Amino acid sequence: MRKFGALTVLSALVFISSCAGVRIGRPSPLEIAASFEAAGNPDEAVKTLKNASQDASYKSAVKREILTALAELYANQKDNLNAIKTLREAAQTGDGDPFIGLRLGEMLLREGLIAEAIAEFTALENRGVKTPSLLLGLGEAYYRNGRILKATVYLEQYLKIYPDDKKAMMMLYESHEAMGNYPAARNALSGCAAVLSAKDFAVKMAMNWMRDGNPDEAVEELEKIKADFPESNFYLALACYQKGDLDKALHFFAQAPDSLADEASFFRALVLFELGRKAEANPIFKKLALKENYSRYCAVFVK
Amino acid sequence: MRILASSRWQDQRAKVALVLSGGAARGLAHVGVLKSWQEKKLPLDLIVGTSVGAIVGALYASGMDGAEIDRIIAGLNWNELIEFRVTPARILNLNSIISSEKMGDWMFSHMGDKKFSDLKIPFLCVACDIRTGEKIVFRDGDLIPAVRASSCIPGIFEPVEYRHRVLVDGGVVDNVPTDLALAEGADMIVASWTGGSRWLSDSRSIIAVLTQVISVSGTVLSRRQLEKADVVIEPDLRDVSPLDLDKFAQTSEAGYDATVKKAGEIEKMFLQKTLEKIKAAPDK
Repeated sequence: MRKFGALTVLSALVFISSCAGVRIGRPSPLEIAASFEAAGNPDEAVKTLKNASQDASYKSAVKREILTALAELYANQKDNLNAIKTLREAAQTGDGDPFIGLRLGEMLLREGLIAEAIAEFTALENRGVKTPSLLLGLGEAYYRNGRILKATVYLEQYLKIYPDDKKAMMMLYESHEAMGNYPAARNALSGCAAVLSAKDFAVKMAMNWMRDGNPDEAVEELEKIKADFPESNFYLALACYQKGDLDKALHFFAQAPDSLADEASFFRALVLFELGRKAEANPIFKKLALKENYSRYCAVFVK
Repeated sequence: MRILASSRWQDQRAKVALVLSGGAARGLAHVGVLKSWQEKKLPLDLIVGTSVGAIVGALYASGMDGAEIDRIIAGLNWNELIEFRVTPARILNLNSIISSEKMGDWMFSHMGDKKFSDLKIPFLCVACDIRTGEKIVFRDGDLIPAVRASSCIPGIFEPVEYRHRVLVDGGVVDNVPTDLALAEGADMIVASWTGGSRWLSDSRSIIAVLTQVISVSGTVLSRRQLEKADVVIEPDLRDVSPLDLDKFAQTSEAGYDATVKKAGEIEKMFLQKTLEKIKAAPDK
């Protein structure tokens, strides 16, 4: 009788556990995978979760957890395509968990599938999701897609929540710069000064001032780094050229470093041409016309 | 170089014209083209439009920004705008299928009583005198009658009587008026071309057939005109017919995307044309 009772309990437990999708008495696939991962064996962890994901006895909620964890393992291994495929499978298990959609959007973005990432993020937005990661995801996706106006809208909303995110701030700076919102771009650039070298910051700021039609401010910015960075001579020359100070421009273009030699030569030739010293300008244009980046523009003068 | 073009070479920089073609509903892609154009701060000195290109061009030239045009057209109920004129009593003496008066009212509500001289960006549009077949170019006077005439698809909208002429859609004589841009002294012409011929939909309705006829003849006429453009923006409108007014979001998006793709080429061409002007300038 006792033996019969024990068997009944065991059968009942097996029945209940199979209905509930849990395996009583042994660790879950997630726990097993976690231990493999902790032991430095991610391939076994993947194998465990992959097998478990194909087990039809699991309820959809459990299966979703397994697939989401499997996708994370793939993502850690930089296997973005399998991560995307697995997240899509997880999304099909029901309930529309926004986390899965967000992660899927992020993975699509990581893989460079921008249009698909936008579609995924937008679907979440249409469902009323408004998390910082969604704002960042949409901001980055539109930024990378060249939709800079939309990018700025999302990035600004995101940065209100996380103002210290320098990567997002850089995207905002570049978007404003591309749209010609120079004061806003300067603001954003100042916000990410900490992640830029002194030289990069000064050059970006100087270019911003020049684009904004203010070469004097650009010169002031470049003077700060002139002693340490010879590249600043090239940008100083540009600012002088913009101001119409052609002799100074020629002087600074001549001092540009080798890394900017072609650019400096091209502008030097332009200045010489403007000064009426065409005999000096023409050989420079001719030489540069052979180089891919300048052939189109130099051909104008060589013709 | 862009910096120098916008400051140091300001007086010598290339004058850029954007020519907006006809194409009925397909032409609404120009809204996306202008949105992207504005966002990328591409240079723009003259807009020339035919038909729907004249409507979109006039809105933009009047100072409305691309996003605002997008918003008002997206919110437009075309059924309310179009007044069907076919009644049993008039069927035997029919001038047209649709009245364009409401279109004029709609334009008035957004642009007011503007004249060409009030516009922020110089603008021209083209219509056709149905009695003489002449190409009529509007560059001065009241804006709305000119735009209404330019966008008046013959047989569908009733012709517009203006300045002693009976006028219909400019697309009949010139669907991409690049020659006008040249005549106005543009150094560089960008054409936004949305009027390409496409297969006829299954529908054999009178409107579908008429718009297709106009589209086919417009394409033939336009090929030569497109050769005068330095850059052609051609939105991917394979799935959009000239009657697909309800596909505005998709159409505008296609215009935006096509312009994003061409923005680099437009910039380079602009700089090249500017350098050509610098070279041609007399020595100081």
